[in-house]
Amino acid sequence: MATQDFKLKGSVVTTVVLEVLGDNDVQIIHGISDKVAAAPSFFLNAPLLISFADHVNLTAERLSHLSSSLNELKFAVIGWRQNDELQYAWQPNLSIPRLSNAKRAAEKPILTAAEVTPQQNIEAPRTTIIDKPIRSGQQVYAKGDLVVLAAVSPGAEILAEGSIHVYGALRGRALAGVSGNEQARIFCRSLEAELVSIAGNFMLSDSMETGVWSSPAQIYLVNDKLNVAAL
Amino acid sequence: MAKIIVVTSGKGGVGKTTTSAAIGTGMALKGYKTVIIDFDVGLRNLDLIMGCERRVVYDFVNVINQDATLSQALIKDKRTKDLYILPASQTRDKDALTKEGVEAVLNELAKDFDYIICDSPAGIEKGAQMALYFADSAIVVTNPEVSSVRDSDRILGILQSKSRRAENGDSPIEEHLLLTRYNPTRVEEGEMLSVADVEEILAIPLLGVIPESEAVLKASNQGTPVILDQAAEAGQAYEDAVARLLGEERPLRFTQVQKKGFFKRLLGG
Repeated sequence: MATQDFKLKGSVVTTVVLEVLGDNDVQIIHGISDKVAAAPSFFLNAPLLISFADHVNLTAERLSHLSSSLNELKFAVIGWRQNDELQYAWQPNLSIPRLSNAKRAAEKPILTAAEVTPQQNIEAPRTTIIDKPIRSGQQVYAKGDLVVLAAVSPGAEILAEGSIHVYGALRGRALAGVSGNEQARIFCRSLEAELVSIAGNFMLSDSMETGVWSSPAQIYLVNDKLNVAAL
Repeated sequence: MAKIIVVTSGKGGVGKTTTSAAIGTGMALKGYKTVIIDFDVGLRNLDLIMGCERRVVYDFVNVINQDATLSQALIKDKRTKDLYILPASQTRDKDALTKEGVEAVLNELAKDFDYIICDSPAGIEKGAQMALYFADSAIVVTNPEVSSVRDSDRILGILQSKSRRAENGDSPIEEHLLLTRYNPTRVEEGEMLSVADVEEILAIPLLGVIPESEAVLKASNQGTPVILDQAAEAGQAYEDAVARLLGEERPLRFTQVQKKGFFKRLLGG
């Protein structure tokens, strides 16, 4: 497999958000410098997003002034936001990007119970439960989680878009998160698998540590690397 | 209504035909009218094990193709009352077995017989699938070694997915594990899987354990089902298995190493 030099991904990061509710910048900066003085190392180089309330009067000068004042207080201003629908007469300064007001976007598609049709209920991922041994040569695919209450024989293959739980010996192949769910895990009462895989990252029995072999274990993914841990 | 029992294994050479002959004979000895059908079209063996190879005129495929009637093709066993053999054709292949043809023959046999034993060929292809398709019960013959156990596991999966009972959603085929060629000494030395090892992997009820025995080869070559040799351990073990199949409780025998007595050691017995 060729090694990749980069990946483009969406991600959620935590930042400090400065909610600007009034127009008196002197008072704002004064209040913040008091906060920073109380805990200087806590705010040092902290990424900061300036969020203006809808009624706040915003100009290009005000934005750049606020931003440079905050940078002087050792914040790292990463952007600003205000109601996405507001238009401005001035050109936004591209060095401080305007971020979309994601919270507002998320508020929109809320459906009331009456609007949810029965079809949408069926779409929810289900758990498949199997109470008989899965024999060599058999293949089982689950759209959601898969629970097997018996053994999975060598040469059998179980696949799930969610997590896999095997309450017998896992001797065959188990592939969890087959549609790319990296949070999926594999749990088994006795790990004797030929192969385990989560979201396409696989491991053969050869490379499993002897410590967890034939004992209860879970397999999970961290930074594209499979981890096998005793339960 | 007759009960159809398939004797199957996936792997070849584990003792399916020996078992079919022994179990069929054992059922007939218990007074049940029994027929053993050889499904191994092209590799006919059951007639040799049953010692009736010189009496084969018509065969299973002739009956399926309606070239002969069932009564013409059935061979009545000379030693055991109530026992009949339906031999396979040696000149044809497994494609001669059609689902409709096999069903028609089994339906006709079911009118007269109590038990129909289907001796399956090795493999998982058409011959084996035809042998197990109509079964009510299955005897899975397994040797205590890893490849045989894996093949048995595979055939158990096929019993659960490709049989008539599975397709119609009826109650599943009864599964019985028969462990053959068992050698307690080699198990103790760690060279052979134990009964517990095999039971743990296959997870089906144990019908019996047949010890590895010279009597089996001798019986095969003589054309006498080994169950008739009641002096041999293998014969007695098959008798136990037949009794268990009929619902009797019997303790397992011949699974422990026999301690030799002083005189036996002295005489080198």
